[in-house]
Amino acid sequence: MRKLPMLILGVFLGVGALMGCKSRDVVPEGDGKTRLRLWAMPNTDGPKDVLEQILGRFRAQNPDIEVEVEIIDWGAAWDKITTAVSSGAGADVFQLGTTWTSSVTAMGGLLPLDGLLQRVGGDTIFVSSARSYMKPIYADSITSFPWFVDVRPMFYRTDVLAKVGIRPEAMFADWDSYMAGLRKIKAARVTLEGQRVEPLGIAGKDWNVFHNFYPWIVGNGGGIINDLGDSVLLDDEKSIQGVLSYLRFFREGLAPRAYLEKGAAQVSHEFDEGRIAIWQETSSKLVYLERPVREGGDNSPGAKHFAAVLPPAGPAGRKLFIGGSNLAIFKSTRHREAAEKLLAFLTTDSVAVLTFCKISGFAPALEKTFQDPYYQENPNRVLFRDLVLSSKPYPAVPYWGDIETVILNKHFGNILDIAAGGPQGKGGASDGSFSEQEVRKELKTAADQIRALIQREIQSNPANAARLAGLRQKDDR
Amino acid sequence: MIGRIWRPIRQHRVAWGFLLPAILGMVLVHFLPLVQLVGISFLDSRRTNLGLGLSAPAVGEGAGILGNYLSIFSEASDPFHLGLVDAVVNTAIFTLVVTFASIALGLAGALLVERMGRWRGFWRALLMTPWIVPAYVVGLIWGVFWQQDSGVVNNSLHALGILGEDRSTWPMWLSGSLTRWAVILPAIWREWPYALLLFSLGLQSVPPGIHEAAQLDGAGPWTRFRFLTVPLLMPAGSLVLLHGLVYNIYSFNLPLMLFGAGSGNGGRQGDLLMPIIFRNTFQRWDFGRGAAATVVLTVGMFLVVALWYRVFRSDLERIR
Amino acid sequence: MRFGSWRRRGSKLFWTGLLAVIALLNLLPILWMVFSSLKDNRDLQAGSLGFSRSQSRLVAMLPRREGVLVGTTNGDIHLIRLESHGLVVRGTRSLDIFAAAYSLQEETLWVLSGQDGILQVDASSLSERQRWPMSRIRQAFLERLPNGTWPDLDPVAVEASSILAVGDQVFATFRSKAFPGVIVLDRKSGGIRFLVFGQELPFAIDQFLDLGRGRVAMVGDKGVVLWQTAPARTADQFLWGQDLPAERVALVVALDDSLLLCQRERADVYSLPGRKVVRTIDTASGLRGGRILAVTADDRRIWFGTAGGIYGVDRRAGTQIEDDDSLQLLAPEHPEGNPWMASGVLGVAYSGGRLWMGGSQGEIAMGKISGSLEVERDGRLPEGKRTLRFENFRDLWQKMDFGSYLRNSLIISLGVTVLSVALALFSAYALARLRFPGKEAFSLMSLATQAIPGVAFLIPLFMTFLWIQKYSRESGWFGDRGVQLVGAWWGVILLYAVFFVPFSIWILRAFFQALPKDLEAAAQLDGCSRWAAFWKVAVPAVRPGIVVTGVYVFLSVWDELLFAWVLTAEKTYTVPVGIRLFAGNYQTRFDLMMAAATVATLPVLVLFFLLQRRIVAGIAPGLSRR
Repeated sequence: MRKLPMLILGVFLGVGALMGCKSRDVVPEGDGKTRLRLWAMPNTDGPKDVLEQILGRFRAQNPDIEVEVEIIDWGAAWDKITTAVSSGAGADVFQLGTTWTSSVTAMGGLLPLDGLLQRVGGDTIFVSSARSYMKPIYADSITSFPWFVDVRPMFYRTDVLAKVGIRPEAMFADWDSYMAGLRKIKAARVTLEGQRVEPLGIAGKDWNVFHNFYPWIVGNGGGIINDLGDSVLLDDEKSIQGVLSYLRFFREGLAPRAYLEKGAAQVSHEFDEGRIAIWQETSSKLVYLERPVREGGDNSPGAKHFAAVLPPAGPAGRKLFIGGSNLAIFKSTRHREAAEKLLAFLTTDSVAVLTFCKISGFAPALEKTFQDPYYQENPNRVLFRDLVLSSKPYPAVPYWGDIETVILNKHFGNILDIAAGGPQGKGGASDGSFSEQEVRKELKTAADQIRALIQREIQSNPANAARLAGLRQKDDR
Repeated sequence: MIGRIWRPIRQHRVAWGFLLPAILGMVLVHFLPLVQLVGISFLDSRRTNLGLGLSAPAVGEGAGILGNYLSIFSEASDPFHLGLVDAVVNTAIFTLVVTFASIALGLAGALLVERMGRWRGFWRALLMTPWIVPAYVVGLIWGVFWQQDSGVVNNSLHALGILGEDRSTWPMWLSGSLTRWAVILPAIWREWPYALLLFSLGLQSVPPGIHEAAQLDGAGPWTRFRFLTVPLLMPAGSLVLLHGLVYNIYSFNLPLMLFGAGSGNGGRQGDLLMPIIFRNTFQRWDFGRGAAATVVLTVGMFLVVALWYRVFRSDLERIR
Repeated sequence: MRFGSWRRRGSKLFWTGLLAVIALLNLLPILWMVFSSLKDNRDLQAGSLGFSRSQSRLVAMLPRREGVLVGTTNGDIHLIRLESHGLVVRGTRSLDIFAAAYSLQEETLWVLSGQDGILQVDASSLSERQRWPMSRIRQAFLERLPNGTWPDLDPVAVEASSILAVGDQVFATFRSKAFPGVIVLDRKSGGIRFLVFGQELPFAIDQFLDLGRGRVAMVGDKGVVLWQTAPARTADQFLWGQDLPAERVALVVALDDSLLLCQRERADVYSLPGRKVVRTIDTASGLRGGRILAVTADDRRIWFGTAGGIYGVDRRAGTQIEDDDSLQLLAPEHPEGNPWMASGVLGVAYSGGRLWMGGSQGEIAMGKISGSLEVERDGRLPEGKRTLRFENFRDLWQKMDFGSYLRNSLIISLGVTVLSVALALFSAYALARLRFPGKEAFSLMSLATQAIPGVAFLIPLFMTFLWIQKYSRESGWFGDRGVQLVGAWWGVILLYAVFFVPFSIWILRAFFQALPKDLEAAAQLDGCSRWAAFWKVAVPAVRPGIVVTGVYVFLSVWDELLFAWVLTAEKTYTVPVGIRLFAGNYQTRFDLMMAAATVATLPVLVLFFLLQRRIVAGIAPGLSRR
């Protein structure tokens, strides 16, 4: 039977031919151009188009560089990035969240960017809150540049405050005045356009849960871990009091418990619909609220009567959440110079940064962008810079990601359960009270777990312990 | 001495020659890695020292060389441990429910198909379709079907009058306590045709006259089923059981894609063993502990298979 | 006797029926998957079991012959007239296009769509007369600017576009920032010209307005350009912030020698000769004021359609909005759970002495204006047409690099199948036919590997691959890149192939065992060597077994996600990996996810149905003794 070997040969040839043929998107090679791959996450609607648009100028300035943009969902991005870092098979330039920078740097595999930073003008070109992630705690060199930052203004209903007779500047000054204002709104039982308006909206257990608690902890003078990342502050009395202050919103019925079953997107929609008076969200919401109807914008009560404001300051000052994304280069890249050019363009070219921030609604990490009339002349946007200046970034240690996703989100989710009176808001005391003891216990457990984790992490890599000792010495001096 | 080893090899050189490529491959891909796996489970291999590979420091402090094993089972603050207990329980429940449901449905289906006589093949092929759909596709599509407000399950229940008008009161299948069923039901849907097939093939091999003979002897349908059909189907049944146990305990594609199209988490009731091991090993890069968990899982599975073998040994002889 | 046979037949019918019902229920998820892949995503998100989608959004209401021509964003055109018994839809046509814009010029309705280009539709019969597809427009652009970049317009996104027919010319443009200019279509010659931003036009344009006397106002992101059609040139130019009110303008209407510029809640009358705002109308101060969504003017009044209803303002004077309570029916509720629909009065037109209004839920009303507005008739637009959207598959191809994934999956699956079966053939034969020590041990060993989870091999092998890559790079023997195993073809194909060898051996062995014992003996008597007996006689005899094994291995590799996820990279992503990577991006695009699922399943289903008899025979060769 000669047919069988023929069949096998045919299959091999077919397979070989298929391997040779190009997929639709791959640009034909051999025209002398340098081909760069950029990995980005969906930061905007139509993310690929937006980036292509921004890269238009880059391509015009660098006709010998071809950039292929690949959009990877946040859920899969961590996998792909860490696999690429360890295996050396990945893109050239890629986006990563600020809290990832430290972990990914610790895996090795990122190109040092100190030289590039010198060439573009040093780290003062970026806002101060974004600088700590450029060179994480255990890193020897700068491994990423800030691209944009995620700051969270508070949005409030101008008509509701006007109706109740509250001046925004007074209400959002500090925690006491904030609570007083919320209580006043609740007591006034506001109804507008046929809709009952609750004072405040807080979403349930999604990935934001810890970010919401954070300003209240640090604003009270507490913290999670210290900046060096080697001691735990979560069970200090100031931190605990901060958490308890935040929980007062539920205890006093200022934030409806029903929203604890909803995610952030849903409660955001509730603000649009006019059912809550105050809502805190990433600055990108502003883009949505300001969009004209004809372009797909909204005509809801929230969109009609809103304004943005700085959140109130705690006893230790105004210390807010700041997130965002950086851009980095894989060490395994074959086109180092071109990759550096691309990275520099996206993070330091004012037009590129401004265009991106206009479309996405995020705030720029590049200092001089804030001088643009786009920010200066809009009352809602002018406070972005203040938000950035008032923020306190998370410590840039490699194990922060673990701490946040595994320990903090879980325990703060439990704390929300306690405050809501049982899982998902069912059951529990009708007067909104809950056991302070349980909250303290939860925080203590979390703090102990963080201690154990830090202990293990520092010991697993002897180099880390040495670096830490060095950093401690510098601190003491 | 060498002669004693050499002679049999020479004698059977054709056979060993034929086996050589397979043996070589299996040593490289199956056996050596297994040894390495055990080795890795004794190392403190994690994200920060992945580049060191096998030269990563051994687990030393506290519990000594077995540190990884102990921590995944008992250390309350270990991130791996935090989900593992739930995952083990979930996987156990998942496996038992899916396996036995598929066996029951498969048997019933096979009996039904048997009545179709010549058309057996057609009906079998038609009913086998769910098994052909790739498991990750099943996870993907059911992830859409189970959606609370837009999924076809809830909307069908609404159309049938079971659920009310207010969409926000509809059950959430992909979070909360119903996730268990969100994973189990598609798995049963995909698995039962395989059981049906094996039972059907087994039924085919039943000697034709036996049922008539028993009927003449006065045996009713239930007696016939219990003492005739069931014993004859034991070989097929044992294979279905084994396949079900192994396949479901190791179920990965389906539960992974069901939640958030691969980027989500099954939560307390929906997370299974393989997804959690994968997440900890290839996302958190906790290689040492992942290896330890895998070793334990493998040993556990061997015990299960050994148990199965003891119970069904006699039935297996019949297949040979 | 006859009764008995009837009973048997009846009973047979019953069981067959039962089986049919079970089979149908069994297939339901798959059928639903395919069905969903052909539905519009809005239907899927609304959770509707059929095609019951609400009307697409009204974007144009154009006066025509005592009635109105209504155009929606989806290309549904309805001609509505007032007849004795009420408002009647006198003609309907569904163009099934995206993000349409309309312009009516006497007997021709011009339609613009990002997907289908410019369409010329007869205004009476509503039949399409001619079409200029996007490819032709693109060609015209490239002829004009050979080095220009044609933007990649996403037709599914609402690329709100604008079109105007004036005299012999049709102006059209898209509101995408990347779009490079204004399309000018010459009615007489059918040719297309481009006015390029930065060359003939000073800035990007997104709306047109006929000012009469051959002048067209083009409203853009920086201001207004007055364009003279003959000769074609910019007649005048006004810039926001300089001559015009500062904020972005959504709507423009011509009023004598002025432009009515409508912003969110404010409208300014801007006098062109005087170059200044002569009047400002503020809707926010009205009781139910809201954003201006539509506007039209008759001889006496300017009518604003807003979210709060219809308001009329005297054309010549006055700044306040009169609130008219009889218009409650035109202040629709915000639809539950659908924040993307602009609610309110989306269309206003003055036709046949009456004011026509269109709402966001498909309501249509017509009223008399004498003193105040009095609604005489109202009705609803017919529902949108329901079609099977095969475009979903085209979108899928464009959004995910599916072609590449399919190719990779095919390569890897085929490669692994051939390699694995080839390796297994020899061993299976030896185990089946030859006697040697260690036979049972080997058999047991290879079986034992099937009880071990894949991850148990993946962890150490991944580490080994990394080590090989690192040392091959550092040693320099294999060039500066070293041996790349993760992300290249070799790593994953070799691994899979050996991985499936025990399984293949198991199946093939049974097939070899089923061969008659004397087969090779007979061949050898005829003079064949041992090897030839194997290769030329035994192997062909187990061809069905080879097919079965091949199909099994192929299906298993096609389905495989764990190894592929870790070991593949850009060039080698397989279908499961690709779907996992990008399904997360499109989690709300249920139609695309279903389409991806369908495309991933189809090859496997086809393969199965072609070869199902062989497969079934091979599953348990010991069980079926046919």
